[in-house]
Amino acid sequence: MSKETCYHCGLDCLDKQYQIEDKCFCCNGCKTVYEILNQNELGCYYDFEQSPGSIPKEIKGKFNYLNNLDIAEKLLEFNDKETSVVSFYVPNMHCSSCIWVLENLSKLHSGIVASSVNFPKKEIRITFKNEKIALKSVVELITSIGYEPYISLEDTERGKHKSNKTLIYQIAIAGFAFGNVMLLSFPEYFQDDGFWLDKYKHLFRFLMFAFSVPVVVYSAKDYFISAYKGLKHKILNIDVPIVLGISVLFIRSSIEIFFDLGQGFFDSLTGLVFFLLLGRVFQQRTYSYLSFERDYKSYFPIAVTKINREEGKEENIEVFKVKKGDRLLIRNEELIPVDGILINGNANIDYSFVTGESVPVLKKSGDKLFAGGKQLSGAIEMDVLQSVQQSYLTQLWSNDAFSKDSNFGIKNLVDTLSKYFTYIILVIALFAGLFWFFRDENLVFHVVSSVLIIACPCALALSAPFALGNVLRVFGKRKFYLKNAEGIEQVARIDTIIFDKTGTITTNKDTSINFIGGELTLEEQQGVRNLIRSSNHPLNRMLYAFLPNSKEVPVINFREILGKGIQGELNKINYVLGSASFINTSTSTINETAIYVSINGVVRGRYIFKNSYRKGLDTVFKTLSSRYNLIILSGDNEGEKEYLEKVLPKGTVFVFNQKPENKLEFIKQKQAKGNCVLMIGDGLNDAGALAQSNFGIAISENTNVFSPACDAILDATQFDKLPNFLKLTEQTITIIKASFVLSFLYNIIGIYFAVTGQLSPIIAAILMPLSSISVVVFVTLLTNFITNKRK
Amino acid sequence: MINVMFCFCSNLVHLWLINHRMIVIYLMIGVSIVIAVLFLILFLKSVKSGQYEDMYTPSVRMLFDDELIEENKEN
Repeated sequence: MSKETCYHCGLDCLDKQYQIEDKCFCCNGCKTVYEILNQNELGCYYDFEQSPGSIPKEIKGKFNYLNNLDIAEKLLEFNDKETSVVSFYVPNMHCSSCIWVLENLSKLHSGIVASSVNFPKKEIRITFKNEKIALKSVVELITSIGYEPYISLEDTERGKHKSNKTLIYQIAIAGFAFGNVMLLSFPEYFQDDGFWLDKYKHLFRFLMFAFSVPVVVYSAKDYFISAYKGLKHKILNIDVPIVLGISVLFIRSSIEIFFDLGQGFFDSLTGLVFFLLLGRVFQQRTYSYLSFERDYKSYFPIAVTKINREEGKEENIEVFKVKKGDRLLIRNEELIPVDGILINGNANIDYSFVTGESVPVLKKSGDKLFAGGKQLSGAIEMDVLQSVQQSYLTQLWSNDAFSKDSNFGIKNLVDTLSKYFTYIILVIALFAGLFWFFRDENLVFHVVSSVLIIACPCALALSAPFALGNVLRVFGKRKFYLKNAEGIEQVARIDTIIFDKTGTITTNKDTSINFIGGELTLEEQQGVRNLIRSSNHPLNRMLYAFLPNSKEVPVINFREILGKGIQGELNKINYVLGSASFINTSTSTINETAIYVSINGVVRGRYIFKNSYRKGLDTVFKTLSSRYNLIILSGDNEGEKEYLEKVLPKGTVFVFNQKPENKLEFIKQKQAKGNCVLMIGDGLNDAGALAQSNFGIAISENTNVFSPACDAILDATQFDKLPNFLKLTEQTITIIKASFVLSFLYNIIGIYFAVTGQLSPIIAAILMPLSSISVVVFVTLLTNFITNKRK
Repeated sequence: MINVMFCFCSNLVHLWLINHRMIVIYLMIGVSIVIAVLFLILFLKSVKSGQYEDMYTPSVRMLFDDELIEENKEN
């Protein structure tokens, strides 16, 4: 039998019941999308890419809260009674067909005026007429064609932060001025005097001065601010000598041209600022599709359905207005926003956002539900125990670790060095000044200013940004995404690595399934497989994929009780599968996800679902253990301890049963003992630990979807490369240190010219760019070399 | 005759230029700087308008218009 794939989404078509002409579809949803698109002359959707679609989700009632005007108002970017503009994040967007259909939404509904897509950000911006279509209908429309927007609590706070373009303006102006000043300063370098030059040099000098003013005032603004802030905190950062150099350059050059003493150093000045800014641009690397600042707000819904008990009505209220004692209705696929008690319904909750545990947990009426879980089977009702901010998980964010200002206090390599550097320069300038004061008074100003100019640590300031920026780029290509370049310096100081267990060293992509109990014969296994074929329960789907392939046998007397189990008869054998209570047996262990099997009334055993460990786990730990203290910090019980102790190298410390705030506290204690801690985690429950640690890495199976706030995101497939990444960061720091030596050499040569009173504009104009460029080339080549060596 | 006249005239122009090249230089520098500043302003404006924020979607979008028109003709 040749397999046909769905014309819309590309999945296998299991049966032939959904067909239009010669096209077959895997489900009714896909067929509906095709019909909608075809009726609205959007059939081209299928021409750009093969099977571009995705299955539309069942959304009945999910977006009802958008009818609430307060909530809708918070989402809209713009609203003037007539037209509204709204932006959504659409995770499903993945190909050119998607762009095309989403930009032609106006053909689907006349109320939509325009829609435009930002593909790298996976964002769609829709302009619509309020009269003709409501916000809720807009959302339902794009959901109905398979592009469900992701609306979270964070969206209500959006729109305020726009991308900062100041640096681009600054570098544009600096580059512009640099080029022009270079041209204008050339004539004087080539001709000392003469009729022609005497006539025009005043014009040229004035123009150079005019070009330099915006460079100093606007382009170099940030250096002045940073130096001022540093001095206020009594820190001599690298920007202090830079600002000193820039100011002296500008003041001396201005004096020279206004008193007709010389041509000044305007070309060196503008060049210096331009190169410095170039370093900043190079260091910056933004991943438009990644976010390093996410907290629970990015995952929590805006509104929930509250059941008004007196009137028996449902109403939508904002999440922050949920009070203790309210009764909430959580629909299928909705997130539980607060802690509460399950009242009724089949709770089957996926906590993978929170703990990284991929296997959903079953809950009975009366059980406690924690915020952050996602309900998977049908609607449930729950009573609220805590408001959003006070819930078990979310109160983590009130910890100080999230409000600490990380910019000050972190010592980086360059700033530590620049402290001594600044003092040395000042001392040299002082002695040179004293020397010339006795030798030739007229030259004192000249020499002192020359020392301050030539000592300006341009090369020093450039080497780190270029080296780090380059490594950042290479890491990004290898799916290890760092928030910023400073992070690399932090990593090099790490001595302790703490791993979360579930979701971090285990994968939540494949689950290992074991059968415990008496062996099942092949026939019985096939019977089980046939029985669960038509069940949509996630555990059953996993088990179905695990069991050996089998012939399809019709099941009779099939019965599925949601959240409990299934039963049916095959070849006159009676099968019952489900929870322990469903097949009347007692559970031996708690906190275990299992499906019990009973055949012909005899309990045969249970299938246990466990997350399997990541590939290469033992080699990663072995490599790391030689250099770092390794700790496993888990929220789970000690069930896996024995196995882990066997696999992982000796000396690995295990700490179990840690609540999210315990994890944070644990890291704080380690740091108090003087350790520099790297935390590797995945779920929201690690968010506190990630924020508290010196460097937090979030492991993510899908970088588009989920990762808590952190300093770096590591794609889960690259887990085995972790020791490599750490080694590379160390080598990068060594390279930077070597480049410091190089740039000091240039400084010594420059200072020789300066203290002997020989520094002419042309020497400055050659020496400064030469030192900068050679240092940049040096670090770039070396970092490329080491990264290529360690693929 | 015309040849001599031309030579004479061109010599005159040359002489004038030598004496007044100051003006020409001022003019040329003035014009070049105005043009350069104009380009700088245009660049800053294009950055401000958000042209460089999404470098990918427009490259796909420009290929679409034809399909829609074709579709309209068919129907």
